[in-house]
Amino acid sequence: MTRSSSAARRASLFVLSCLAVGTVATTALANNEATIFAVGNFDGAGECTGDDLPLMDDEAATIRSRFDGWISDGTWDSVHKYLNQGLDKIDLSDSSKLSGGNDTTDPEGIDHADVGFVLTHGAAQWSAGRYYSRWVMGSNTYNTGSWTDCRVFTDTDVSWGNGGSNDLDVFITRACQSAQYEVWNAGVGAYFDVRTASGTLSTYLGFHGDAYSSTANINRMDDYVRLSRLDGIGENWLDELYDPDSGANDDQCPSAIVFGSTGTARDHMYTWGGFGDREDTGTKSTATYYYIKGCDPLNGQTLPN
Amino acid sequence: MNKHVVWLGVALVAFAAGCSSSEGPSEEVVSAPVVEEGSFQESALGSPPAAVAIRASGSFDARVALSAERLAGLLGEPELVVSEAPSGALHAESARVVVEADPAEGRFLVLYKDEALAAEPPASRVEDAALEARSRELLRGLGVPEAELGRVTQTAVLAESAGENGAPGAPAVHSYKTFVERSVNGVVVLGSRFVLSYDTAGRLRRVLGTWPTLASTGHQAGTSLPLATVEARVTDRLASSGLSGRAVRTRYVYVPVANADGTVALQLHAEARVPADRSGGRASSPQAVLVALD
Repeated sequence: MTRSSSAARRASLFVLSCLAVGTVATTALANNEATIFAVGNFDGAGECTGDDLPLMDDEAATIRSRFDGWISDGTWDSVHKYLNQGLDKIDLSDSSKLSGGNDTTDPEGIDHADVGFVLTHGAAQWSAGRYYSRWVMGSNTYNTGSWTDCRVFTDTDVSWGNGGSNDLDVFITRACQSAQYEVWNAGVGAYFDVRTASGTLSTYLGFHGDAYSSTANINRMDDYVRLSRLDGIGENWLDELYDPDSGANDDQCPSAIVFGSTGTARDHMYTWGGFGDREDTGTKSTATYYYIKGCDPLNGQTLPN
Repeated sequence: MNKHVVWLGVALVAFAAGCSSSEGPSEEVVSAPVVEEGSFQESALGSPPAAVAIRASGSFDARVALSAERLAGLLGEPELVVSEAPSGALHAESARVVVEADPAEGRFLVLYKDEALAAEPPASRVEDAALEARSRELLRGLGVPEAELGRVTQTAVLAESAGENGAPGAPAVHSYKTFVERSVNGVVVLGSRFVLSYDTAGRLRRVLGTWPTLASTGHQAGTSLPLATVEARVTDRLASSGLSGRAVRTRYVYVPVANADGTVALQLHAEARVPADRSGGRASSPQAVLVALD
């Protein structure tokens, strides 16, 4: 997709959406696939350990409903949702990094999709020579006897959009510390581990510091998805998920990482890209990290002013 | 501190659990750094708001202001071409702007095109106070009642770039932002906000709005429950959610409930927020629970 044609294509898509209600998706709109993983149940048989997050089902359903609406309109092709034990380590892990990693599987591997969501507990590390974010799984099926079996790490497990049917373009996560500034800033190249230079992954959206599981955030995620089909995929994320409401050192600080060959290409994807307008940002050799000035979350430094 | 939010300094539940920055089990080779700059600040509820009348939004009605008939006039874009989807969602475009709007839900996004912005002169002033004043003026122009403006935060988005093998460069301003909360009767309305964005030359580049129309009736603005009862309900709810024993911050909020006619009725709730408890390497996240106060 060339940038110069995006506005015209948006207009065409909209006209098409008006005409295509109740019909099958057209060839031109093929391969718009979204996958949503959400984990709210922990500590049960077959589950990983952690605090339950009872709002996760609602949050995942809210996101899915927007994609379902677009499928009805003929502007999206497919969406899959996996809850709780529907997410285990191999679903997010690449076979080039993890033995048994199977992120390519259609449809339950995230890398088969174009847009992927992961909602669960998260954490980060930025010390002693290791820099990563990680997510907690719903199922403990992957079992090598290590505490890491229930977690996926950006550095040792993930390689998305890395060729062939591994074609994830956009990754979005509502998990704590999933796009942590300290990891970005001190761990040189740390978040580059999730992509390959010649691959498709251009956009990675997460949080610096902790992010709440809350009704307010379900509303914010709904607003974000609703507005981001064609434009503002990165900027909408910061606008919708930033919450300065919380007083000292409890801001909610969304951050966005866009990979691409030039600053212009990265900024354009951040500002004008969308789920259905996944711009080609070129070789993913450079990245830009976008954040709210001075945002001060729990479990993260105050962002630069 | 937001004057529209009821925050008091009395602890509701004793702080019992420390928070580390990362939930790593002891098997982890290295210890996670601790970056906490201070403890999660607890608060407790004050007396519940009185059951005063809540009036409809006055001159700003998203269903009217964002209609296909009015949109061009609202934006001052006579060449705006507006298309309406079967769902009622609008897409509009001119040489200068792109608009996505859902009048029935009070949501809209106005984007000024890069080429159009580049042709405009820079703003005479781009400091925070001037940008916030412009945002307030723009909202007045949209017909948003001044009385519904809650906390206004003027800030900026910064951007840092890096190659795979190099440290990030110095942060640079990507855009300036005005975040506006909605407040009715001194209580925050969950989910309602405006975000106005300006480029580095101070030119308005986008307006994001979620500001549904208030119903004329059907609100639950306050409660006659005594504070002790409210606190007991919050405590019970935290206990049933397995969140007892953590620091708690509480406030009153209005939760909008959608009506079939595209308006929302506001329902008073108490919101309790607790931090993650990652002691012992347990996976945890901060959570907020809502307690109805009927």
